[in-house]
Amino acid sequence: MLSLKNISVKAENKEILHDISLDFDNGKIYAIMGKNGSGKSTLARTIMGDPRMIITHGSIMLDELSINDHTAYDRAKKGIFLSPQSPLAIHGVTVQQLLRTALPRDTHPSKKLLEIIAHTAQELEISKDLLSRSLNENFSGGERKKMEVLQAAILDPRYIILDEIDTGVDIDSLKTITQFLNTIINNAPQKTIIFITHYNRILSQLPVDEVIIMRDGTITQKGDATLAQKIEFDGYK
Amino acid sequence: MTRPVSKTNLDSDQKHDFVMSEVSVQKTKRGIDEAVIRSISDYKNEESWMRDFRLKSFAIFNEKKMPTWGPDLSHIDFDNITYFLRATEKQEKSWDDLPDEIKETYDRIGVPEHEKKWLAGVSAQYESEVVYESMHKDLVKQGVIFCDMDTAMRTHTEIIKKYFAKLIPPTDNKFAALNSAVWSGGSFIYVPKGVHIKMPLQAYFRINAERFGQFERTLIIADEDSSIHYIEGCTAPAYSTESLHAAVVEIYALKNAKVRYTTIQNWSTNIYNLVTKRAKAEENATVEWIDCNIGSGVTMKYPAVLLSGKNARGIMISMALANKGQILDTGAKMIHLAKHTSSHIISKSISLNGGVSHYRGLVTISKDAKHAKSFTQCDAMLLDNESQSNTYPTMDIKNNTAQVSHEASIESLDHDKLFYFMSRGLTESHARSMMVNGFIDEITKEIPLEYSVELYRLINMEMDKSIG
Repeated sequence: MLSLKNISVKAENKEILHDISLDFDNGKIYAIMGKNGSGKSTLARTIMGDPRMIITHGSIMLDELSINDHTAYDRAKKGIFLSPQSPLAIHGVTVQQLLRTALPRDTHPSKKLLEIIAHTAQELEISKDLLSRSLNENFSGGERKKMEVLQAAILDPRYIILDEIDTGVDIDSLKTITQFLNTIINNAPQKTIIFITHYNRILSQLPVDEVIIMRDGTITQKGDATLAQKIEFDGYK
Repeated sequence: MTRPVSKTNLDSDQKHDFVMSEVSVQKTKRGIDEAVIRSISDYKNEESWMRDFRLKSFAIFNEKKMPTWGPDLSHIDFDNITYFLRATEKQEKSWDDLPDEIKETYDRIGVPEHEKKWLAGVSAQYESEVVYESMHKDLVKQGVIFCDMDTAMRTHTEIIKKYFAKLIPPTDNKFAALNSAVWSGGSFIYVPKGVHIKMPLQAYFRINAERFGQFERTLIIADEDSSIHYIEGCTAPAYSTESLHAAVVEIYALKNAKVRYTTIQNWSTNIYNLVTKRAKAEENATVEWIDCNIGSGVTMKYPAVLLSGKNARGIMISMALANKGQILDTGAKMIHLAKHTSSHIISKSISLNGGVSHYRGLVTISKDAKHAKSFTQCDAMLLDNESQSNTYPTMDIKNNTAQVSHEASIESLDHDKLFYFMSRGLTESHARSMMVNGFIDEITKEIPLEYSVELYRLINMEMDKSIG
């Protein structure tokens, strides 16, 4: 289980998150919603271990142990994954090189890894030539987000945080991504997925267990999937 | 293209840093004077013109002042260097015939293995002379000459007399004068008209001795309509005392010829690497310098192309990685002397842990070089606040039909990228390597895969040092 215990977080000398407590159970699907600036992305980056997000109070617990002092690398190795809101373009590095370096050779020999990448790309309808091009350089919004999902699938983490995976993505790509994620949810029911989003559009296609509403760096509401629908009609209160 | 990432040697940290016991059959006393130069000439049984050339060059060396710009060279103790050391009685054509220490050296560096797999010929210089040389038989049949310079002096005297020291005379600079006085070893290559050598020829330079000077001299002549790719690699074990490497390289690309010269410089950090390299590109010829600098304490190197025939092209693609205590002062010179000539310079430098990199570029467009084009791109990456990068571009344009442009950029460590890579499960040092490798992608794409893997490994090692 991944838990936040009364955490407050500062970034650029300003407190962004105030005393947040949340539990993310194994095998459940979460949605975090809220207006721009409510602290959703800060929360995601804090969980992943961005050194610029400074925890001033409280702890992040992974399986009952604090991971406050763990680097992003340590957290990745412990099974946390974050797809950022705007995946960076990285000149001169391909997704193949990135995954080759991220994964050990003994469990993932190069040939096998390349096959898995190619296969996953096919399922995500990612054009093959993007795999050997500079990651995200001149990629469309949909291609960038698909590349994130591809990495999430291959790195096989226990906790997948997807920050606005549905933003800047065309309808067809969104459908492909949603289908792919549903396959992951069905095949690996122990995985926890946390969606950060503004829209119910993607959530309505996924078996969301809990919806969490944030506002001004705090949690204001929690509920089941119907809460997301309600938000879509009524807006944030 | 997919580039496999080599991890096999990551644990054996310093692959090139090992010392073999010194082997020498002939060696001059420490320091330099006329007697030392005469001994070198005698050891080589040279004709008197060459001995005179050496002595004249030595006089020029004595007169010339140290460069008044660039890195501090005052620690070079010319009296404490051994200028000539012959390690073997004769050159061999089989690795097995070399003394054990030398054979083992090249085995550990991996030269014989590369030779088998993907090279058209190999020359291996150990201390002052070439101890091993071999080339594919079909190239011999086609009339290609690939031998060490000492041999070429004897066997191809006429052609040597025509080209030797013509592009870089001893008067060029103090270290070119020193090289001209005490030169030994290096490669001589002649590619006959119309011959295209598909696989690269490689020379490997190793300094094993302490307080030593290596002064090889390389001359490449690509005759009309021919092409060649030459690669040089260099390593040495790290000593606490300084050694000197002062080479001279001259290249002639005749009409329609293409020469690519790739350098993977990985000297240990006790080495002053002060090299003069110049090429002449005749009508419609292309000269490409691909220059990778990882090692050495101080490097000063500004390869040049004289674009002397119309439509000649000059390309310089270089990278320098300056770590703690290193000053890498590199650059390029493109001298446009004829119409429709073009040049392209891409320079990438990375500085970390207080390392210093400089780029010095000179683009000259003469009055006759109508419609010449030159483009320079100069990118620097600084991984921390203690490190330095400086750019000194000079342009001298003497006609108004030329198109000359210069772009420069400087970037610091990108924390977003670092976090992104680490969040994918890369250690901090791997994340840094990945960024650096992405940054120099234009260079790694240009070098043979075997070397880009090696370069990646070397950069990983440098990044590991920085994390400690």
